[in-house]
Amino acid sequence: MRVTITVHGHLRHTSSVGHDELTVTLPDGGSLRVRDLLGTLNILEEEVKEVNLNGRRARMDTTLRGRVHLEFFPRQG
Amino acid sequence: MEEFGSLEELVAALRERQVREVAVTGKVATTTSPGGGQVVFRGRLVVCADLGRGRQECYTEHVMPYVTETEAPEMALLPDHAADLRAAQRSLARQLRAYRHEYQAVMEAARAALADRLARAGVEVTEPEG
Repeated sequence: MRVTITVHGHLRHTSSVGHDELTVTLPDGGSLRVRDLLGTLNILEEEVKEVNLNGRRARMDTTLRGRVHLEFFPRQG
Repeated sequence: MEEFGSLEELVAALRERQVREVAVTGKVATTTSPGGGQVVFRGRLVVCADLGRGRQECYTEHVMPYVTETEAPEMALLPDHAADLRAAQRSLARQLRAYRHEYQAVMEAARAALADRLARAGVEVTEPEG
């Protein structure tokens, strides 16, 4: 599974992603959801105003499959 | 979006249009070997000038690829979802750690060099919006 992750606003400074758009390769399986990535990305669910999956608004319990582009928008900044 | 083959070509086009600002976006792709023992990083810096009305002129600079050995190869997937989930999280953590410790500095150095070339050409780099 290929997951591209972009963060905006203050998340560029506080998350593990930083300024660059990162594309990571993850093992398939496990019904990975958006929420399952947050801890590793050092992002608190409470600070996320909106998450987009392939350009469309998604929920934290949306399952990730195949090639996906995730964008996190913070509540502030 | 119009893509130029070199930074100099982009700068010449921007000069004609009297555009003096660009945004630089870093993009890093990682590829892991089977078993996860190696991580390959490939970076790009995309320089884009916004011409208005959704039009952009851009140039992509490729950053030196980098291969690193990870300290702990991925375990074979175990036959339950919780184990699969933990394997994915471990893999993500390993790639992020290797990126931050080994490749982020390469990207930052490339970004600084690019910004310096742009500054010498009279073009300012602004933070991407969002």
